[in-house]
Amino acid sequence: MGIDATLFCLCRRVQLVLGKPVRNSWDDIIYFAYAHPSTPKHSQSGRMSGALWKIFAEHVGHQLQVIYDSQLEYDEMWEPPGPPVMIGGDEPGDTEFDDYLADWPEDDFADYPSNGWDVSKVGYLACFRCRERLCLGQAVRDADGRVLFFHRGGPEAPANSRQPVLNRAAWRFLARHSTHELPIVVGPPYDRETDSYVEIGGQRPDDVPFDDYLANWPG
Amino acid sequence: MTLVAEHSKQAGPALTRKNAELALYGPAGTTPKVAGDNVQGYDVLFYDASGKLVLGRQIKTFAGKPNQFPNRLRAAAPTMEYDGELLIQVAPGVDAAAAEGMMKSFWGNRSDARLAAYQNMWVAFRSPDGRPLGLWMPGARGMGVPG
Repeated sequence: MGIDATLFCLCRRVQLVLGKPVRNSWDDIIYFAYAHPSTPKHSQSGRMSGALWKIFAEHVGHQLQVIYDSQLEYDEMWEPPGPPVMIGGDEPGDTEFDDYLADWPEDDFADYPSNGWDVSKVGYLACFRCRERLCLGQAVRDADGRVLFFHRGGPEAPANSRQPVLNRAAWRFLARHSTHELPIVVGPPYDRETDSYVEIGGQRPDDVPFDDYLANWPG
Repeated sequence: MTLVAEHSKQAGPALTRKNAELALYGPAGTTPKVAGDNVQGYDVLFYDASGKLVLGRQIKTFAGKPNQFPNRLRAAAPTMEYDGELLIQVAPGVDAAAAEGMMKSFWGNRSDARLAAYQNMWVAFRSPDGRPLGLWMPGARGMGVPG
């Protein structure tokens, strides 16, 4: 109530308004939602989910953070090199959702060989504080090494933002780790022997399967 | 009181009991419903006898610098689908002229075409002790009452 959350990259170049935190009976934040009753949940919104996954790709090597507008950190985002561009905002410098997502090739994973894109590395959204991570899939990079988008699954799999399970897991991850710094890292697949992270949707014994992670989650 | 208790769960200026009570006053013939912690929706929703939503009210406390206000409004508006009332409890000492100044800074950075998106919203400013400090239509430049 009264408090809205926004996803920022700590590079202070971009922000995505998430709305109010919806809590459960134990006072845990379970998801973020816009106030208007007709607004779909973010995990069911093509523009919100598309924007989220594009932010992941554009801010590889950066840290994301969900910040509440009651926090001191919120106002710090407006200091240089801010202010951050608001996706869906209406001030000069902001960008509309449609403009932000225009020409983004998230659907073109199957064409990566002919496009000369490199898919040898994998991306993760991680929480250092909680030692959890979510595999975002293959980092699809252009000839300059710039990550265009992430894709989890084979060529037949839809774009990440339209994979219901993976996309919901990403939104839940943000809610569970709000106010935490969330780096987006790209590299070779992690080996469980070399770290102690729990992977959401991973296959190893200590990982958390998507079914468990999303069971009874209303977001 | 549910609204006060909810608001106290986050850092930042607390919603006063007086403003929480005032937030429950809505259009004639409607019944207020507090969305509650674990419910998606406006902070307070006003329904008529047929169950139709007549008004949604979002409540925010604002103690930032005046030049930060336009951003708070532009961030809140899309979450409300640019529809309903945004009740702003300002910091102690902020008067009606200062509240009007914050609205002017919002209007000043937008064209009339941009403002059109806000035509179904209004912003109500209140002091911590519940005094009205202005009721403004963000979608219509200069339209409203100062206090």
